[in-house]
Amino acid sequence: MFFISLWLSKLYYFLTKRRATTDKSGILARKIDPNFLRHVKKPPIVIAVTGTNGKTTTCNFLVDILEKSGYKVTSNREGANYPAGVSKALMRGVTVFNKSVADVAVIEFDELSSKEILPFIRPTYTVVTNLFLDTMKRNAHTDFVFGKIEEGLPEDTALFLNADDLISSQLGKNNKKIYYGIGRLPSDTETNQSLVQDIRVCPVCYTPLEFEYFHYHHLGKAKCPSCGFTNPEPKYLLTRIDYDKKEITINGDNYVLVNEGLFNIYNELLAISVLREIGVKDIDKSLKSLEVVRTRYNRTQIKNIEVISQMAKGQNPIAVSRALDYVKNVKGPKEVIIILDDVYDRKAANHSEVMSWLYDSDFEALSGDNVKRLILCGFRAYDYKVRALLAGVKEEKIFVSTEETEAYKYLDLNGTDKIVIVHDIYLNKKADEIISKIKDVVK
Amino acid sequence: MKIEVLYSEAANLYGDLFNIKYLEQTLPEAQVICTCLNDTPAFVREKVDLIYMGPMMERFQEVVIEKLKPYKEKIKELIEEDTVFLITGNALEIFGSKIDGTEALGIFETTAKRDFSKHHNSCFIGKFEDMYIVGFKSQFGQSFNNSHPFIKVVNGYGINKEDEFEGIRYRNFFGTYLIGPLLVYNPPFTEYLLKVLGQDAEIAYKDSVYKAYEIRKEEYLGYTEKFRG
Repeated sequence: MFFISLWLSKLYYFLTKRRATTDKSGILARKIDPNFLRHVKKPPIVIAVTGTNGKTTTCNFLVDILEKSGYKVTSNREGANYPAGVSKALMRGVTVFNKSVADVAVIEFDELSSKEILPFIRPTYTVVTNLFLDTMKRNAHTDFVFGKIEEGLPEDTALFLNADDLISSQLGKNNKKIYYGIGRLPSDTETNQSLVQDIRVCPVCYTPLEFEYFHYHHLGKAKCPSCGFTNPEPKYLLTRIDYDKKEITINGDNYVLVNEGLFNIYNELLAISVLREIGVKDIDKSLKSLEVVRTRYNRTQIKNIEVISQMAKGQNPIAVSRALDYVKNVKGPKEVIIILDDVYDRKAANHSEVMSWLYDSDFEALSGDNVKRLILCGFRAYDYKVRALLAGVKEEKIFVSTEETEAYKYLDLNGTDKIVIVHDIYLNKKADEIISKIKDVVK
Repeated sequence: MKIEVLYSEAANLYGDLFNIKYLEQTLPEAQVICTCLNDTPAFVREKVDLIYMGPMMERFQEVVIEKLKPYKEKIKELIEEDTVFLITGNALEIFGSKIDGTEALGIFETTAKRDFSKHHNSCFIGKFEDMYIVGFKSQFGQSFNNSHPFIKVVNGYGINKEDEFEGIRYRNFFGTYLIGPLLVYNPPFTEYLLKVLGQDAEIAYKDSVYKAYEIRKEEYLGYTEKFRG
């Protein structure tokens, strides 16, 4: 059965002109041989990546550097992070005789799919970025996701865990563990600046944890004053970030800083740690030759007005909070447009968007003086308005535009030189439309 | 006015602590006491007007039950004396008699069953007295055998999938699976609760909160079929 599934899967993949975006060849393979993932030959090194935030970016780093360093890599980075996408990736890594032709497989997997993937691919390294509160509908809370990852962990996989994350660093009691982390930074805070902090009490004795510092949300260094529970010691420690020189230091070695923002730096650190562990040479040289990694923000200059659009995954409180924190740190006075309604939940029959996530997202970041106007858009605009008011944004600054693309009408275009649009990943077209309308008006 | 928030270091999911932040903005003079898991609750030693607890990860439900067990009789007494309790999300299950195999506080007869393979998410509209109540659900558990119904379901799911009522209401104990935060999304109920608490303050951001409420109410009443669960 297995060879039939492999051949048909390969044939389908070939006939559909290796269309990158579809996982149908993987679905087909699994239909014919439900144990395809077990039977397909794996490369000598399998790296499986999961976690709430940064999976894809970490995989991109790993694949790009490995390829630049001469490794043959198969990955599911263009495909889905479910069993079908993983099957497709591994199918591409073998010949028709099921001989492995790749040196490394880099596999992103969804946290909830651990049990359906890991026992069959038995990764050399299982790499976890972090665990945070995520979209409530799917992922409930961190305990639930933690349990889901544990369900599939083979005992012989080595774990790469974030030492600054007291939740995910507790994964895999009996596994070999390698920790990475970021040391104390000038940007750290002694109190938590965010609403969501997924761990507040010691998981052993339930005493409130004492944090020495926070990087953001619950990432940082803490200790239980009662039983001594604390962060593990990282083997790979980032000690310095130089934003001017665009440089970071890990275990005394300097690397180019590819993408600013601690959020992104964690992904780079994790990738470098894994690459060092498997013995990849000249990582920094490869990093330097990386094309600029796609970022989640864009800048458009319209005469004297700079328009920044910043993408955020709606319903994901951490992603939205990081985006709002970014807005807060954009220098100078600005006007802010928010379009985050979930289009799919609105379209679904007998369903409407569950809006609790607004109250886990740091709208407080918008309450400062440098936000001159806040334009809240979409069908849920009044929910956003209430949220903004509770966050301390002054009512006279708030404008409501139930039609997203009309948002430009509420801008004070004469009094501003900076506009920031925070939009959901599925609303980039609406953001573009707003930008083109601003262009029309300014001309 | 004294508000005691129980175990917010554990019971802090889904933004529901904004129930209290909203009350604080409505009643700036109110004193809010946050009690941690290893503290003795304030209600044991002094008069508290409102006791609040919100949703938490299931592991913490068991911890909270152990922490509150010594004060079970005191809690019963307070409820009989008409102290206001506002309990949201799965914190409600703690006041029942059982959660799966675990003995809960047994203040009410309800028994809760969890199913970790089904994470229930839905929208809700119901009626309490002459008020529409709107909200959301996000939970693994359901409760059965409830003899103190709170909100009559108009569209959505009750305290369990078959029940016509959502939540537990007994004297001034208001317990509901609804998250929201309930008080922010339901200005009529918040005004009602303030009256019960003997406060005559106007709710914060009244116009905007009512506007959002009316839009949601109309939207939810407009669904001709049952909300998807």
